[in-house]
Amino acid sequence: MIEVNNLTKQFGHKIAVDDLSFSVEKGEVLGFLGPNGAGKSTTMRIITGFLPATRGDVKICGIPVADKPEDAKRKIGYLPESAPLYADMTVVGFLRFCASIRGFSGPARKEAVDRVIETCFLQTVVHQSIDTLSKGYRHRTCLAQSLLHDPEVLVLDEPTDGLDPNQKHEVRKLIRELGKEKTIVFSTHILEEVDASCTRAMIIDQGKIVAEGSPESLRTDGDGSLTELFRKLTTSDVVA
Amino acid sequence: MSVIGILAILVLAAVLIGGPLLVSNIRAIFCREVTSFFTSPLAYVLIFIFLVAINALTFLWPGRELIESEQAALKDFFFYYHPWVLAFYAPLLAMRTLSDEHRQGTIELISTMPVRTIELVFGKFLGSFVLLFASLFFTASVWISVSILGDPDHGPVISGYLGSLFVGGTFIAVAIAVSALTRSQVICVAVSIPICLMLCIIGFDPVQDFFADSGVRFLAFIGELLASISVMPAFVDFSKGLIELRYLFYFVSIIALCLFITTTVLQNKRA
Ligand SMILES: Nc1ncnc2c1ncn2[C@@H]1O[C@H](COP(=O)(O)OP(=O)(O)OP(=O)(O)O)[C@@H](O)[C@H]1O
Ligand SMILES: [Mg+2]
Repeated sequence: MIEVNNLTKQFGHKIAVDDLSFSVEKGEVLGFLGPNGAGKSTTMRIITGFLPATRGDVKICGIPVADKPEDAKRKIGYLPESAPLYADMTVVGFLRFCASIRGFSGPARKEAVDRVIETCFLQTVVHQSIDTLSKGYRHRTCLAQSLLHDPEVLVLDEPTDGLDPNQKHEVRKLIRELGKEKTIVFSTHILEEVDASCTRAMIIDQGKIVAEGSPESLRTDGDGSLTELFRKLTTSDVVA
Repeated sequence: MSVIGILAILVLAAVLIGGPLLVSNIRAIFCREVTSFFTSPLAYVLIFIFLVAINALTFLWPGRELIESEQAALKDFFFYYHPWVLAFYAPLLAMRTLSDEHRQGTIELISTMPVRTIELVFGKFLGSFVLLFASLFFTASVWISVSILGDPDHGPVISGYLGSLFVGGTFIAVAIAVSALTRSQVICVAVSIPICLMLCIIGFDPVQDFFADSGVRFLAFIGELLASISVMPAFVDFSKGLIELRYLFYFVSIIALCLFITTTVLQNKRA
């Protein structure tokens, strides 16, 4: 489970995340919505221990990320927004490397790698070099990496970005299934995904929470449409 | 030297306070580094140029030809050039290590896995160091030729190689520290090569003679200070067959210091 307390992140004078507090319990899938630049990725980077917070703290399963980063990181699977990969490796080589870092070796490593290859439908590209992969496959390879150690907490930054409709469907299904026994936070710009996979959604704008609740209650607030609510609550660049 | 030494001891203490390093993590990063180096064609070009440079300097440099020399001591002909060539070669070996992580964004992946920054840096260092070891191994052809032509003293050759490894290791550590600061490999090389050359020049005999012969006490002091930072005095002793504890200590300290700086830079860069 994830606990975020009064989290603030400043880049110079710019406040990217502004006194954000929320918690996600086991069995919950939290959808993270918000316009470009709202602070979604920044929040996720702090949760996963990549960025230090300016103020406030994050606890993963009770472990403070700032004080015991390695212990907290062991519990988290993370898909960064840009799906970064080592271009000079093959898909399977990359997954083996990640599995080694996650503490697997020998047959256990092979098993973990085989499992995620199957979960993320990578069978056809296993021995392909990563720099020749299509965007969707790159994304799936990076997603596979986050599932290797069967983490208790999953943080996925736009997991369906760049996927074809079939794969979008598969990933939403996967998130829903994994969400039953894990704690998941994922960000998206596709509002239908909230209905498809989330138990709860949160809209943030300029680093602050502007709406939070179950997909149904949010839809009620938006007179039946999430898009309406989103447009009503968040500042658009056109005006600003 | 004592200044560097004290700093290094503080660094080691700081590392140990953070808990033990995980060998499995260092090994995974090290293996990835070496494999990735050999999958790029650049690797073979680099090694080839290194070998050509060393051999050309050894056998062709006017007036210092190894072939014509009476006594087959490698220190004046072969090892003499090592620090200078390594000042170029080591940064080229190490330039990709951290620049690439930043350029590809994989730094975000690796820093959200349970790896300590110091393990990452150390694994990267070992990766480049092994490549250096392999490159120096191939220069043994010179040693073999000389052994066939004459009868060199093998002890100084072995300690000379040890010296080359230490000098190369120092330059790799410098280049890694620089590569933590930039995502561009070109900038990394352009900054590290001059630093490495400076580390040679300030202890080079003509420069040291200038300070010593100046007769001004202050300049002589500056000269000694520079010599204590330079890799040259240490390397020259190694190539003569002298392995001195204080010079071993010097190399280990300066490498530890550079790697510690790298770790600190990486940790604070994101803040
Ligand atoms: N390293 C950084 N330095 C300075 N500003 C940054 C940095 N990273 C993010 N920001 C700023 O913080 C704000 C929030 O960025 P963030 O990436 O979290 O947005 P986001 O909600 O993920 O947007 P998107 O939907 O486009 O992915 C933006 O204004 C961004 O410019
Ligand atoms: Mg984002």
